[in-house]
This record gives sequence, structure tokens and C-alpha cells, in this order.
Amino acid sequence: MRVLPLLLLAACGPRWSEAFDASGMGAMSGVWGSGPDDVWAVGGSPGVSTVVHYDGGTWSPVTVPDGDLVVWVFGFGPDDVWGVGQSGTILHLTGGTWSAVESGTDEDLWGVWGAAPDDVWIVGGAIAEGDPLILHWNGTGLEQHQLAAEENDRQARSLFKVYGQDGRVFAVGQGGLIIEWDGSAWRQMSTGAAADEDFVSLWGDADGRITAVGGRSAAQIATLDGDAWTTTTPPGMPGLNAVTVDSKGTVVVGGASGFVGHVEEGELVREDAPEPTSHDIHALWSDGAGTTWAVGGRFYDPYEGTAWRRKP
Amino acid sequence: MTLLTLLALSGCKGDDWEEHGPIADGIMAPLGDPLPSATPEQLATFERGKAVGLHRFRPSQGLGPAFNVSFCLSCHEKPVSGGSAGLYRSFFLSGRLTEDGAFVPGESAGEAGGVIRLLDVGTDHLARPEIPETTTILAQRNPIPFFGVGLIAELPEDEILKRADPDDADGDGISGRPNYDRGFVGRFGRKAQTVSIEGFIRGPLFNHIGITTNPLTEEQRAALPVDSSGGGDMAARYAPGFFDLGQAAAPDGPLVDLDDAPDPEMSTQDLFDLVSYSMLLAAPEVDEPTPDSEAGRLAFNEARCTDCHTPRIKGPRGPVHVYSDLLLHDMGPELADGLVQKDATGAEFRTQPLWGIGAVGPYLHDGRAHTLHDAILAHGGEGTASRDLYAAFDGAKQLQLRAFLLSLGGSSQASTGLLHPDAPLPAVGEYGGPARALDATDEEAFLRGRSAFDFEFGYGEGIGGPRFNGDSCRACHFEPTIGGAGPIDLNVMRHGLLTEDGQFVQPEVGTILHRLRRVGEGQQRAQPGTAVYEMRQTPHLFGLGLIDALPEDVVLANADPDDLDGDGISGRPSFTDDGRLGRFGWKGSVPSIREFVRDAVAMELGMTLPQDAGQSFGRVHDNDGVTDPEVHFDYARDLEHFLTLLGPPPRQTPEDPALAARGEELFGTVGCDRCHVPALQGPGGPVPLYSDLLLHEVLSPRVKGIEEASATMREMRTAPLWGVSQTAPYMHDGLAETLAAAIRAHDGEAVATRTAFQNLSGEDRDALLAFLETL
Repeated sequence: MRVLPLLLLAACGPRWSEAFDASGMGAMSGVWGSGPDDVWAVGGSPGVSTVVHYDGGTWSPVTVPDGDLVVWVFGFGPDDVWGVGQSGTILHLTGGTWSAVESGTDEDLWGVWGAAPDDVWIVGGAIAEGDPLILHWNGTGLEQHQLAAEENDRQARSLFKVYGQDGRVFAVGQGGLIIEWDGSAWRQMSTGAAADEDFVSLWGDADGRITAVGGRSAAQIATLDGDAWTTTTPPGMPGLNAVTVDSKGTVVVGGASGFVGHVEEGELVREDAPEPTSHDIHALWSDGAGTTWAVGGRFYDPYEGTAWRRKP
Repeated sequence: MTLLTLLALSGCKGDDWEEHGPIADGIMAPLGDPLPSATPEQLATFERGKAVGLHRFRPSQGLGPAFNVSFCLSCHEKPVSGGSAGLYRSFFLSGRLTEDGAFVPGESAGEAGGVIRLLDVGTDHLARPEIPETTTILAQRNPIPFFGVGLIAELPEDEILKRADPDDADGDGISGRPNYDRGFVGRFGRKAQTVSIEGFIRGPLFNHIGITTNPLTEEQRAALPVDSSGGGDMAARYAPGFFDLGQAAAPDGPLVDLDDAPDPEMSTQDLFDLVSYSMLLAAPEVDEPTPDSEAGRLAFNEARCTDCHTPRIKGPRGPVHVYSDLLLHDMGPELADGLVQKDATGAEFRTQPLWGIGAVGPYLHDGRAHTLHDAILAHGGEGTASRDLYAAFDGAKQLQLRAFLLSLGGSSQASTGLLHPDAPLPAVGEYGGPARALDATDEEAFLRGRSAFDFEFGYGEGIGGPRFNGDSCRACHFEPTIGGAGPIDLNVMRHGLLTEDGQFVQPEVGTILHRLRRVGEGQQRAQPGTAVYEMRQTPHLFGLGLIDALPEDVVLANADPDDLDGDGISGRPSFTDDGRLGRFGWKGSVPSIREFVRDAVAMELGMTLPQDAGQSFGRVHDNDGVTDPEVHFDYARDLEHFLTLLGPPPRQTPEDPALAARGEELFGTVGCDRCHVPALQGPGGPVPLYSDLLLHEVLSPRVKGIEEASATMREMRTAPLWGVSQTAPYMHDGLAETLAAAIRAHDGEAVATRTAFQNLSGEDRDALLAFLETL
């Protein structure tokens, strides 16, 4: 008996197109904006930070302090934006200028998110050794938080992204690990037997629904249900790296080899990419006004980037 | 179409492709040969790729830091390159389940997909990498053959999926589920956990050898024998109708490790050649039917083996006689290993292809079955009904069924080890040849002994009772040919404890920390409190008989235990407890070839021998449930005859005779010859072994080594130098990659000589090394 993957092709719907030529910018890895006319995309290559800015009409490169590949970007407005990256790179935009922030570590930093300008979380860690790295910015300085071994029974070395809403903060990482900040410590949450590969990213919508995506060898999607996550692995779909929620409330995802799609009635629906690429999609962000930005790239020599935009 | 048989049986489910029948033209060849359809360019790639597969990686080239083997084809050698391997190449996969039921791969010296690594040269002290106490699942795996994998890669997904019956909707007791890798139907690995050959090679390269790679470029993938480029549109792979681009779904990221070799440690060109080599390996060539094999084929059908071992799958070249549905089946508690790989549960395994099965034992995922009969009877779960039908056949019918299995390719190349059944006898003066011209009786004894040396034992014969390093003598002694040395990955790990005042204490299980234990018994862990680890490289055995024959007084004549001549070199003879002079082993602890054989059979193979008057080595009893003695007296005598007759290493012709001659002079001038005595006088004349066979303290005072027999922690027997040119790596731990590095590693009594070597001019050092290369 043939088991067909739960794969549907959208007959019509969202259209993807190239946002800008990122081929010479290194690997693009993060995208975020404070609004439709203020969007940041970051990336680079070893020893080179790439930051580009969209002003509503044009994408332009921005000079930033020397650093390493910038992996992720998040902010609180046009003049308070954080970028974190490899080898402990932390950049902070204030007063119209990007400056370097001493991270106190040379480990890779993979994600940043904050509930407020004085409540910013940064996560990272080495892929193959050590313990997950968690830093917190309290408005004046960075302090390191520990993840207790008993809260990491999946033995994750790295946490990849952090995100929160409705007063809750979550971080996702290797081996299907998802942890939650309880106000005094990070606690592991149940993600189920299906969550045996990395979770790479997570995002939520206005209704409080949070989706985490990942999977290295195949797609892995988890949704938060109270205090536990329900994880599914849609058969026949590639590993996912990126997730956001568009202005219609649709969960949009991106992943291996230029895969883009969305979740529709619990199923993963592939969308037509604007061009063939072997680049992985690493980040998605929706501006709330109908546009979703996607960036990705090739994370080894030669480092190359991809930048797409999606219109509903 | 090649005619296997045109007979079709009624009553079998499925379509014609599930029956025995014609096979596509141009896909079969003897085991290890390339596809007959390969182009001249592909044939060149095939040879290059095979050379990459045989390349022995060294630490300076990226081997490790943690590793199990040093070259790809070490695990794919039986009966020829591209095949499987004996039990000595089995390994462990590990993991555990979290409280919420997720499988977490285990680690040893870092992440390696759950692979347990046996050696780690990346730490400041050598040690067997520890397995965390939290690891609860430890599954043994035996390597699988690669024959025909390119043809399997070409099979359309639909052809695999149409045989799936995950809920056993047809009620025949056989389900069949696909595994998925990166969104595609997996087809490689014991649990079909991998879809792409590139991925199936890059993974083990990293996990078992510690060699890092970058993914192939799109251009290279497009040029592979099985197009792996994704048709130029990688994203479209996930669209309906694009199911058959799984080869494009190789991991896209580079791999890095923590050693000093720059990543990637293998070029993408070498990786391309290696992947191409694998893809070009032909399918095993089936035999012409015989009355027995034809009857066996009917018995195979009758036992419903075809329910999972699908005779043919339709490929783009025509029918492919893979004898597998490539699906996962629950094999019950009889075979379950608890290991979760992608969608495969701990009890599920991919149906193993049966082509070439007669030449690639041992069988089943962990090698527990030494014979096809044992393998069939070990089936459980969904295979129970077939197993029981087979078991109910009379002996003649069982034999016919097995004759059919043997007809599926490779049987003419099969041997009881790795030697081809018709392997020639090397001439006197060649590596692996006898020490002298042999009469018919001696030649017969030599060949019989060589076969015994090569013979691979199985668990049912008592191997590993309860621990072992090799399943045959040849398992560790094969460089550059049978009877030779062993690569670094076959180093024996010794361990020990220390008292508070630094005295050596032997662990309860002895100093050997074995590689493997019998299936189900886990891995031997170091005794708690272990403070000393010492690797032992496998020395060659050429010329052993000449050493055995040396009179004791010839050896003792060079002894100077108290350095009475004041030259800084002592030299102590090693004696057994009963006063016999030790001659063999890194610490000179073994007094004769007979005892050497008994010691190796017991300590390396884990097998028991009969009592032998006057001999004190070996073990006559163990508790593995196999009747003792496990090897026959004649087996031990055959080995003894072979080793006694095995010729010394032939001298190599120097490229620059004058330079080598200058080096030979310097060998004496700098003092090498004070321990590496060029020749000892044997009954038949001088024996040019370049050793005094005495113990010398040559390890650094900082080193804590193994105490053994009368050798102290830092004493080693002077290693014979004959054969050094062909038996790298060097020193007792195998960590000296070159002869120059070996000289630099000398310490203790050898410091003056080492310093003298280092003070030589560059040209003189080259000369000395050139001389050593002639040995």
C-alpha cells in the first residue's frame, strides 16, 4: 500500500520573488524589522559581518563594527536593534549607530529576543561540545544564566532561538529541546517522542499560538498547548529552519534547499520558490502589512546569500 | 535480459516484479567489479575512488581525534573491497530515551551520530573514550556490503512505496514501512535511515574515521554516476512528481572537528571519487541455476521469504534482483536493539538485500549469525512465520534453500576469511612467502596454517568468550599482507591502576581493554580507578620462526642489566615466571611461537584451547556457553607451523644505494645499533632482525605505562626493525607516523642516540632514514 506524503501544492496563493541580490553578501541568516519601512537583514561570512537595511524602497548595506557572521537580529524600534552572531559577536543599534557589545564569550550566538529594552535574552553555544549559552541584558550589562543538567535531558549543546509573548519566554535548541523561563530559572518542557531532532526557530501570533520548527533530516513542527508542546513530523518534508506568522495569521515556514511553505489545517503546504537554489532558508519575518521576508544562504565556502519576499 | 529463471509461482502476492525472473542487462559483475556499463571515464574514477577508500589516514591528515578505523574499506573488505567485514569490525551505536520518549543518540568523545569510538588520540593522555552512564541503549552493528548501491539509489520511490503495508491491511502478517531521510524514502543502512549515498559516506567518514568533508558541489553531484543534482531545482524536490531526486538530499553542511588538521580533511574531489566508486559497484552476479538451487528457489517461495525479500524491483535499467523490499519490518524482541533511527523503531530493520549474501557473512545487523542457517533461525517478529516454515523443512530442503541463497552471487569468491580460495603462495623472499623453499609436506602445512590464520570465527564457535579484539589472526595482521602488522585503528588498548605510591596494579579483567564483547553483553568498560592507558600497535610476524630458533645464550650475550660497561645502555632479558626467556611481544613477555599462538587465541580472540604439556599461556576454559576447548589442537599447531615457516621481511632496494650505505654507517655511529643489534646468530646463520630482544627503558620518565611479566612500566623490548619500511605506523602506540617521528619518540636510555640523530646534518639524517627504508 502506497503511503503518500501529506503534500499539497497550492494552486494559487502567495507569490515569492527575489528581494535583493544577496549573492555577494555572504550567507544571510536573520531578518527583522520594526515596520514595513524599517527592515534589517544580517549575515556574512567568517570574520565578516553583513548588515543591510530596507527603508521601504531600497535595501542598502550598513557599516557595522568588525565582527563575525551575524546570525540573528531583533529589536524594539528603529533605534534599538540587536544583532548577535558567531564567535560571540553582539551588535547594538542605538543613536543611529551600530556598536559592538562585549559578550564575554567567543562561542557562537544564534538567537536574540527581548520583552523590553532592558529585558533581552541571547542564546547560543557550540554545536558539538559544552553547554547551551544563555545571556540576559538587563539594560546595563549582560549576565550569564545556566541551564541545569536536569533541565536538559536531550543533552543539547546549543540553543538556537529565543522568543516570548504573553509574559512567557521560550528557547529552542538541539535534540528537540524547548525550555521556558519561569522567572527564576529555565525549565525543560515536554516536547514528546517525535521531537528527536533540533528545533531551530519559533514564533507566535496575536492569538497566542506559538509554533516551533526544526528537524535536520525531516521537518519537525511543534505547537504549544498550555505547558507542553505537541510535535509532529510531516512525512516527506525537509528539515525546517525558519517560521513566522504573516498578516493573515498564516504560519509561514522555510527550510532546507530553498524550501518555503505554510501550515494549513495542520498540514505543511509547499509554496513555489522564486528560483531554484540549494541555499537553506534561515529566517522569515512578516511586516504585518502583507510582506514576508525570507533570507538564507550557504554557510560554508563560498558563503552566498539569498533574499526573497512574499506577497499574499 | 539475463535469465535467472523464468519460473513464476502462483499464489504469491504482488505483480510480476516481485517474482524471480529476468534481470536487467549490464548491471551484474563479480563482487567488487564496476558496472559493465561504466564508461572509461567512470572506470578511472572507480579506481581513484577505490584508492581513496584504501587510504590509511594518519592523525596529521585528520584521522580522529576520536575514531574506530583509519580507512573506509577496512569495514568493507569481505570478500573484496566494497563488501562487508568480519566481527572484528563490528561497532556500537548508542543512545537513550528521554522521559517523554524521544531518542537521544549517545556520545563518546563528542557527537558522532551515536557511534561509540574506541580510540581517541586528541587528548593529552590516551584513553578509551568513556560512555556516559546515562547511555542505556548500546547496539552492536556489523558493517554492510556496498555492492549494487548505485542501482538501489536509482530505484524510483514509487517502486518501494507500493510494497508498503504499514498496517498490514492485507492481513498476511507482514507490514513494511518506509523510513524517511530529508523527506525521501530511505534505502541505505540497517534501518534504511539514509537516502543519499553521499550522505551515507560522509556520515561514517566523520563518525568512524574523524575525517571532515564539505558537501559535493552541484556540478559534482550532477556528474556522479547516479545524478544527484536534484535536476537543478532543489526546492522542486518536494513537489509532487519529484519523488525520485533523493540522491540530491545529501546533507548540505560542512563538517568540522577539533583536531589540528584543517577542515575539510578530505577534498571534494576525493569525496566525489569515493561516492562514484560506491555508485559504480556492480550488483552481484548470480550463478547459473542448478537443480539444487532451483529446488531451493521454490523452497524460498514456499517459506514466504519473498514477502520481504522481494526478488526484483523495477529500476530505470530494468529489473534489479535486490531481494529486498527496502522497507522496515518489525523483527520482534529476537532481534530488537532498541535503537531508533529516524522513523525506525528499536525493533524495526530494513530487509537486508540478499544478492551476494553467500560471501558477506557474518549475518544480521550485529553479526550474530555465522551461517545462513543461523541467520534464518534468528529471524523473529514478522519473520517468524518464514523462520518456522524453514525450520520445518527437512535437512535436504533447508540445504537446497541455502544453495539458492548462495546462487545469488559471490559464492565463488567467498572464503572462510579474506584470502581468496585460490590465493597463490608468495615466493621465498616476498612478503608473506615462506622463509625457505618448501617441500610438498611443508607447503601443505604452510598453506593450511595460512588458512587457519585467516579463518574468521563466529560467536557460535566461541569467539569473544567473553571479550575479544579480533575474530581471526589476520584481522590484526595484514599490513602489507597476511602475517603483517596492523593499522593504528587495530591498536590494542591496555589499562591499569596505580597505588598511591605509583605502583602498577593490574585490573581484575587483565590489562587488555578489549574492543568487543559478545552480542548483548555491552562494551567492556575500563575498571573504575583506571589511571594508565597504553596503546599497543600490532607488530608484523614475518620471520618469527627465525627469532624462535635463536639460542638463548645469543640473546643473553647482549644483556647488561646493570650497565656494567657504562655506555648508558642496559638491556635486561625478560623471563616468564617459570624462567623461560621472553622473545615476543612489546614487552618480551612471550617465550615461543607456540605460547604466542596460545596467548593470542585466548587474549585476542577470546577462545579456549586444549591443554598442551609444558605450555602456560592460553585459556582452557571460559563461560560463554560454548563447549571447551573451542579451537582444536590441530588449529593451534597449524598456526604454529605457518608462523614458524613465514619468511622474514625482504630488504627493499634503495633508491640511492650510496645514500643508504652512508645511512647504515650512521646507524652505528649514532648508536642505534647498540639496542637495534643488526643481526643475531641463529642456527642457520645471522638473523638480521635489528634487535637485541632485550628490555630497555625507552619511555619518558613522565610516562605511566603497563607493567607486564618482568618488564617495568617504562621498559619495552627493542622492536625488531626488519620490515619497518612496510609496516607504519611505529612505536608501541603507533603514534609515530614516520620513521623520523619514531626516532624522535625515543626517550630514557635512547636519549643520547636520539640526540645524536638530531645533531646530524639534514643530509645525514636523510641518509639514515634512507637506510631504514631498505629494511
